[in-house]
Amino acid sequence: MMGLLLGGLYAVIGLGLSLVFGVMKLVNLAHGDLAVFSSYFAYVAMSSLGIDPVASLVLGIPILFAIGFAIQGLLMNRVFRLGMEPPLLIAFGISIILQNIYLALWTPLSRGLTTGYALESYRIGEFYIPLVYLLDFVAALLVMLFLREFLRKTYLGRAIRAASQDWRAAQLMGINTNRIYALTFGISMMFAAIAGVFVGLTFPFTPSSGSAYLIIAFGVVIIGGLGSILGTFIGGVVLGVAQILSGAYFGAGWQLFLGYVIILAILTARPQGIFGRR
Amino acid sequence: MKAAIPRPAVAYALLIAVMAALVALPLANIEIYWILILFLFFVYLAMTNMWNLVAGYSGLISLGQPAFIGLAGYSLGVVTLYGLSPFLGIVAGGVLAAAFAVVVSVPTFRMKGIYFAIGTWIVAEALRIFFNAWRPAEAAAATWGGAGISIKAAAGISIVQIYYLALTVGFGSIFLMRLILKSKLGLELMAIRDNEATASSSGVDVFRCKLYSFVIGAFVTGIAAGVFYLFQGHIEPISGFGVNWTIILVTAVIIGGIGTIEGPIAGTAIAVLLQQLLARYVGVSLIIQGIILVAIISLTPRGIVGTIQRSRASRSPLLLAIRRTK
Amino acid sequence: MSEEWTLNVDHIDVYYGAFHALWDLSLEVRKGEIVSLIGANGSGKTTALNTIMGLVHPTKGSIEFSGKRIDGLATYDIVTLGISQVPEGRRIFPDLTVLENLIIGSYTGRARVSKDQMLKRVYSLFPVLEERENQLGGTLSGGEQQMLAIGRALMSNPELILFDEISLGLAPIIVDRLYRTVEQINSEGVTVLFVEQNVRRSLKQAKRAYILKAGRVVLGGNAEDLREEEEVKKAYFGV
Repeated sequence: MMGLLLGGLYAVIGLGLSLVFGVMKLVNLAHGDLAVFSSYFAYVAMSSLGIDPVASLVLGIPILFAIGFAIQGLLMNRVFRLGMEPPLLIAFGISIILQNIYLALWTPLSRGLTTGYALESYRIGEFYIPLVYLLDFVAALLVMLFLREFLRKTYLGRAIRAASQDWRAAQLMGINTNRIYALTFGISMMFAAIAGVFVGLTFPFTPSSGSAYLIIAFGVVIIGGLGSILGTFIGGVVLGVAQILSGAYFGAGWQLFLGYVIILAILTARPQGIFGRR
Repeated sequence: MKAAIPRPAVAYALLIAVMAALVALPLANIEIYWILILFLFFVYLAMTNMWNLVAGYSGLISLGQPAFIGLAGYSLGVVTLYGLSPFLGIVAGGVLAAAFAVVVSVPTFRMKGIYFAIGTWIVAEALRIFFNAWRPAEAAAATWGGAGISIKAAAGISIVQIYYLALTVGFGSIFLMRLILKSKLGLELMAIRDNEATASSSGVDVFRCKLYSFVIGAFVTGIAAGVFYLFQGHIEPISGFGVNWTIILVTAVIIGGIGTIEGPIAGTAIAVLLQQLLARYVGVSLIIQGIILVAIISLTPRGIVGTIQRSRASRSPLLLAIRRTK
Repeated sequence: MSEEWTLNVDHIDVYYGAFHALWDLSLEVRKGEIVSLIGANGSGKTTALNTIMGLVHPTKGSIEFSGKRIDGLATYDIVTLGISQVPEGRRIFPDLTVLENLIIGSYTGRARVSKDQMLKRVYSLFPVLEERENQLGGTLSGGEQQMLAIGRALMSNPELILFDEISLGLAPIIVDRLYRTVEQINSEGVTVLFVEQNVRRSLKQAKRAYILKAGRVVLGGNAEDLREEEEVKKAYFGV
């Protein structure tokens, strides 16, 4: 049950990565670290200004959108058609930069977004369900719904889908593909921002948390398959359940291990994931 | 792209002079500090040379080198735990790393490009978690009871001995690189890097070549890791299997120039220098390396791509040479 | 724009990397015309269209549309000016529905306002598209995909449409129908520049034509006159 709720959170983490990967075929290795940016941003907002983390998203989302837009527009747009390596390495570089900035500013000490409600739990039957997990899940559903409607009903959303299927043809429709890609990255960062705050509410984070969240995000995308929002959700649930189960049976340290094994298995056997199309 | 290459005789003379100087260094009365920096340099150099071999020449962007590093370090720890010679431990580390490379190649070689990169990363992370939980009774008593074990023999080895070990491994890696690149394997690897499909249809056994370079890379990386941890005296999962190694390897090789022989040397030197100069400011040296990395790739992506997929002109002679050697 | 305009391709040179694709090529299209580019494979017909659309840029010479230079512009800007292309190979979006494919055709500002109008027009020209409105583009037959590609190009409410080899891979009966629709589109006021391998059909449908060979224009003129020319007679048998 908890695995299900956790899965929602993981799905959000994976959503942004999936969007960028699906549209630009680019794996943003810095995705996790950018999400953690939002965690630290909320942390600062909370500890110095007393602002609730979710409320800090009002600023957090636009800021991260701008960062994402800049990364794609200024850096990635130059290189991402040249093959897989350059964007991968740029993202890796950004990841290094971010992780060490966090390290320098906030030390390796783990931080958490500890608000009042973050500590509450509800009793359902024989389970204790932390309130945050429920919040995570609700947020996840809202985010996924938003993305689905956006991609289906708006011109911009359709343009993004078109650009991901055939960028030459998209240009023939009058679509400025470079700007669309930058927009896509920016939107992906918006999801990262949301993920960052809710992750920070649910778990403690350190400068190097980004790596773990990247692997989770990647796992979500791989298991669920590219190009499918439902798939991303399923992927998230699988990982969430795997984490809870291995934590229960093998001990706290092993939580992510089973998940990693599953990811590797799928990568080997069926790289396009359960629902994947490409 | 030819820089002023000194004539062979001059080059060799220089090389011997440099080697002699490095060997004689501990005998002069300089601070231990410099010996340590050089030690670090040569350990890293062996590893960066190997990453260059695997990623730059074979096209396998492996983000999982820490798997080999950690395994080798732990082998050393286990071997010395039972009182055996540390040199045996180092070799054991290399062998274990190589064996693991063979095993892991089965699933990972089926993964293409980016999936391979992340797949190897996940392998390293999985190992980290695994070793985090592994607390052999005697070893735990040796450290402070947490994860990680100490390297018993470390106390018995002098800094100078370790320095010479590092020198050997470092220079060894350079000679190994030259050897490989001039051999049939080297030609085949470069053909694969240029265009895998063409190489394959010209009779190159792509899988085997990649496997060889991957395993050799793992072995030497393991040896270098053994030397490193022999010096450090203890190993923890976060250190052995951590992404910090990957960061050093990738930034050093890219900044220095991937796919070239001199690249890792230059890049490692820069990395070590930066690390020492900015040691006081935690992480700043890495921030700078990260920025340089991003700058280099954004501004001269063809430099990266062009080297990973070398020039069209060199393709035919290479393939012709391969056909001739068959 | 309802005033007269011309598309003026003026002595352009185009390279693909080191390959010299177009040599000193000039052609002209006036509002309301149907003009065709004829030539064998590799003669540069598609390159000419792509250059007009901004997918490739000329190294020399200029392209002007209604007095405005377009040879340095990006493709999406050229589309905004009123030129649309039905690309070689159709290139419809396989994972978008027929309706979505058409709607995305009216992405540009000038087209969005008239989207519903244009949609009706496309459906009246190609009723089968309305039937298959909610089907994914990739599941359509070749002929239907071609219709979709044409419809999509129409959605941007263009002044000029470039048709690139719409007969490729299709049965003659379907090709006949397609070209009848092209005529109808032209009669409704859209200027047509098309590339067609079949010389006979080319000269039948076009009012004016240019013959291309190895990247150069070797002949140009009224379709009627061209039919008599030696080069063309050779092309009838040669192509």
